[in-house]
Amino acid sequence: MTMRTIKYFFDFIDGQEQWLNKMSQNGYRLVKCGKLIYEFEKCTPNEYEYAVELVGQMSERKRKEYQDLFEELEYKVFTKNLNINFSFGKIKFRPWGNGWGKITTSPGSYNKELLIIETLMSESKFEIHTDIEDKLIAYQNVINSLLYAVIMMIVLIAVSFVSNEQVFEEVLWGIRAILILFTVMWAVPLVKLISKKLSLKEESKISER
Amino acid sequence: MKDNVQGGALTETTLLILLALFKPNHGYGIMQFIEERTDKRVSLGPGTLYGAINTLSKKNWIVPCGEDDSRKKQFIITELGKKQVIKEKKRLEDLSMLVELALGGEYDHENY
Repeated sequence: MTMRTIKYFFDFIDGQEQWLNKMSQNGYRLVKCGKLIYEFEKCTPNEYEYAVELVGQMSERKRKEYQDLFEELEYKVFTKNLNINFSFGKIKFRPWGNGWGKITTSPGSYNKELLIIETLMSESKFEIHTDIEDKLIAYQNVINSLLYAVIMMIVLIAVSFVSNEQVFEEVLWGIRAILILFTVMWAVPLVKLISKKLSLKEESKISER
Repeated sequence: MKDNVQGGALTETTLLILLALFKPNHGYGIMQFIEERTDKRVSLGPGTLYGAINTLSKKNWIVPCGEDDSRKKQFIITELGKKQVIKEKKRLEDLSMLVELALGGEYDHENY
């Protein structure tokens, strides 16, 4: 028996990870994920553990190589989209990417910005990065993409004030309200992550793990 | 993964991966080796393993070995890599001696 849920995460790493682990606690294992739909099947509670990793900054070749390693290590890997807009046969630009990771194509790396990794639960928490230096880099990548989202929202809000399109005031304020809501939804995980990064950075001065 | 170039100090992760590769080993084997030999004190995440293998290959401290067609890529330490391990051994011994000097007679296995 499968269960389907529709969900979108603004807090796409920590929020999504916590939710998937909560589902596992309640005895649901992820079997499939689409743009907004997650499909679960029943399993023993706490049998599986999940971690989510942003790979949108990587080039297509690198992401493939990275995903292969996870599969070689016998983890189950799902690819997940970061955005919800539909796209096919397009080229997009990601200012927060590294090198060729700045360009994304569909079909290709577009809509595969996240990896969801599933593993059997063990005594210690499953972590993709176990080195402070590595964790800092991973945090920074997520910070960059969240920062980009927040800046884009602020730009759109600003545009809504300067544009002299003939739109009803009410409609315009409605759009602004949505934009402001999105800004906040992305700003919250951004602030959390920045503070997490700063405290880890402090620790890295005296310890390496 | 970062190595302190001036001091030549390797990170613990780097050293353990190099030790795991004195025999041809693949990713899973490296993770197992580290967990077993450190009594689970150190666990190596797959992301950190990936970064470390790439960096160590680039530095030519390790090289791929075994059949190319197998899905599990194997690696082995090079002479250059072994040199780093020996350098690190010396550094750790020197450090250990400094610790013992500082502790003098105070050090007592029973109490710590």
